[in-house]
Amino acid sequence: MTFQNPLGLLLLLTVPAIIAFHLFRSERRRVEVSSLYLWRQVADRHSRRVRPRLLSNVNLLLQLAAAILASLAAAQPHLPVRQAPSPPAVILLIDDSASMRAGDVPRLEVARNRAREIIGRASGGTRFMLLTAGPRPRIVQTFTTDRTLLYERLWEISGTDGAADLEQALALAGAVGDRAQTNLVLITDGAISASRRPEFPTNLRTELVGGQDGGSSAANRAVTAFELRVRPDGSAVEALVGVANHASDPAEVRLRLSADGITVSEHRIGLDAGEERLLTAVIPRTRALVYAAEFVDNEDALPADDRAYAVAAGERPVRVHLATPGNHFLESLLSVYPNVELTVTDRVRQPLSSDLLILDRVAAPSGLRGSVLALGTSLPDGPFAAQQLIPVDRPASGRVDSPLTGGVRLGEVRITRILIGDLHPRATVVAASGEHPLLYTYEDDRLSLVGTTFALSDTDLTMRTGFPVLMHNIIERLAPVAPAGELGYARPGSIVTLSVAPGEELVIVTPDGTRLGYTPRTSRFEFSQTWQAGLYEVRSASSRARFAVNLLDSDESNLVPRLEAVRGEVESPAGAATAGRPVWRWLAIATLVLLAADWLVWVRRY
Amino acid sequence: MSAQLFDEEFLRKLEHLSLMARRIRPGPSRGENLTISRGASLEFADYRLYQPGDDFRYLDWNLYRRLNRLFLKVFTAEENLTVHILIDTSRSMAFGSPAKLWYAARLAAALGYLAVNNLDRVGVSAFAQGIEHSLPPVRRTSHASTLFDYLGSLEPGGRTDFNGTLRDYAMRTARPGMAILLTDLFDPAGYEEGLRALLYRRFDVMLIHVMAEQEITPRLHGPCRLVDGETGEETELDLVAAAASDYQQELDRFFEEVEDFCLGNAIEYLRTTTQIPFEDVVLDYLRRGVFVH
Repeated sequence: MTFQNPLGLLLLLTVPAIIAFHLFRSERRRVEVSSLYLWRQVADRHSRRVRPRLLSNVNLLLQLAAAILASLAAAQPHLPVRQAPSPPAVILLIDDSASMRAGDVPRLEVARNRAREIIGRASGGTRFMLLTAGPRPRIVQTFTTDRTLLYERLWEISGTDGAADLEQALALAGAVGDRAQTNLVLITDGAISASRRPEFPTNLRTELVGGQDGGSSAANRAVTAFELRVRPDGSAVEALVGVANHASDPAEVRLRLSADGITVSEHRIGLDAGEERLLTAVIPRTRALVYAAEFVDNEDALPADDRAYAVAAGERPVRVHLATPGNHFLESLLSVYPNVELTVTDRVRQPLSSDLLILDRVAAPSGLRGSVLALGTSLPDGPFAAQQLIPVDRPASGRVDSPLTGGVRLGEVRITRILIGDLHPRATVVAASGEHPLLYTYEDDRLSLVGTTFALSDTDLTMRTGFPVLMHNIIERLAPVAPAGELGYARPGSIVTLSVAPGEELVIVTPDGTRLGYTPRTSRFEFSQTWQAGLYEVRSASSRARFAVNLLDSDESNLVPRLEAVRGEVESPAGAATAGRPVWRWLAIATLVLLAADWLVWVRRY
Repeated sequence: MSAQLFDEEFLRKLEHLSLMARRIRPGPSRGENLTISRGASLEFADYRLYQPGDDFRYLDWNLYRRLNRLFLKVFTAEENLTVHILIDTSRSMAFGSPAKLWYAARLAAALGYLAVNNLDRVGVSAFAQGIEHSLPPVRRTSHASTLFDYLGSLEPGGRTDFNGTLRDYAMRTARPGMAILLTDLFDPAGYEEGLRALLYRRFDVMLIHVMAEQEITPRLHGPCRLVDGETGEETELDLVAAAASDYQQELDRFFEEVEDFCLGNAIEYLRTTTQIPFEDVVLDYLRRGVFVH
């Protein structure tokens, strides 16, 4: 029972007051009668002392009960209403970050066993959910009581080469589990620095596994940074490399820099215990596409951070097909984009193999697939069915939250004519003039479309500084263009966007040699299975490319446990009182009934 | 108390009662009272057989001649009636609203007035633990004002010794007659012996039991400490419904005992409360023929 107004219980002070009143009140009135002649017999039968009769004093008992009930009513009690007890729920957050791969017996394996123990010890009705707490936390298994299924899913957690992201993991756990009824169990090696430790919820308990000795099993040397920059004159590539010695003893490492597998330079670096050092190197510019920094003859607890790669982008240019009766501004703009291979036609007889088709006031054939920018025209089977061309006099207004219109002042753009017609409900209007859409986007499983209801020739947009920005935004959305020669890499768990030929079979070979096959429907393919550090190879019939994934996280490379254990737990995971039913009205009514009974008894007695 | 007792309205009521008394009284007219004592007088009462020793002057020779048996003429003895009004002035008579003593005094005044008008000897005695003071019996019509003054001067006080007082009064009185007692009979020692003493002395006893309305239906409730108005004695009791019921039973039993005693001893008994108009009580007595002998 809970009380909304506990101060109301102060009324209980009336209880001793009532008892005192009955105890110490003037016991009897002094009444003079003419004679006791007739009263004596009566007095013998009805004269008793008051105090011993307290317990049999009905009025006293009724008044006490009324006082107690009145005080309870004043305190506004609420009876707990327990919902039907739900089975205990536990979310197991299993750290599958890179550090969990360290050790002779990988920490992740210990974690899986620990999770299995927890699941095995729990009562049969306990529901478990499996979450990873590594890079890009994800749900491995939703709530279930199926132990076999849970054990199978546990072994599917194979670990990553990325850094733990506890904050996102806890946020995900909080989103999928009722905090009042769910226990969180974080199984981790604790190799997380305090700066990355989020605020733990009260229902979180940690299970620390592996590396607890902090000794040799946690000794690790790592490449912690690898940034490359092509000199503006293109004569060389400058490299910034970070190395760290996360061990209790000093160490000397041999660092080799290579380009396309050919050693460019090698460095001997002495590192004190716990020391992290940055060094720079100049690599003569070649046409190499893959650069690497890696330790030579290094044996430590975590191989994933012993090397880093950088891959030059632009191996394959973005192919843009512009169909236009003639548009000087558009052609000039597209021609200055780096790594864009532009093809201009006056019409579209048949779809070309391109990454982006731009239709400038020309009719399009049906059955188009891939990424399309439709300027002042509509597709036969597209989301916009143009009906007529009308003049407009109202300024445009754009959605401020759209990345397409970022940096563009559409309100200042003058548009003289627009096409009006029916727009598919799934299309998103990005800019409009009154009720008429000006710029829209549309996505389905075959088409990724950005369209304008106005032709560039009917607007002064091309004369404005916002025009290149708008076109850049549109092309970036439909067919991302990477600057030719830019050297980059991704982090484990991040999503890599690949420019591919729509409908073309795609094979991605991961660093451990696993081949993953896909058939993208659009020219943009987002690849998310970037759990391993190393070089990924993208193969298709028409192209071949690579991208790199590096850990490069000094904190994750430090395998020494730094996380203190916490023992949080929900009080009653089996079901908590979630609501209370107010009962003060019933108590008040009972009080009135008791007072009425008290009055009746008093009247009847006297 | 006399001014309040006997105001003009009271006197007017007394005149009315006097007229009513003449109308109700079935016997001889004014100036005479007949006693139950047979004696020599001019008024023939009955015959009875001659017994040796009788005064043969009253033999009826006419009857002897016709019946050949000796019969003696019996004449009603004519004598003056003495009315003894005994009024209880103990402290318990101060109880009630109006006080029982005040009510009893008005009643005594009314009865005394009627007796005086009937040329009876009327005396009044106030008693509590004993005869406190008395107004000796006198037969004259002017005695009424003296009677009123005396009754108006009565004040309550003292405890009640009913038996002792009446026993003394019975022994001390030279000329018994009618004893009219106005009392509440609240004497723990009882009342029987006193009344019997009067009867032994051949008093015609009339007992007017005066009760206050508060004594008939006490308006008391809750825990009380009852204080005896006469003795100061206290007793505690809870006046709950059951106690009130018990008191009522006790009161009924008391009344019943008194009635039974009076009935068994040829005592005229009438119970009244201070709420009943005194003239109604007087008329009730007249209808009972109390003054007709």
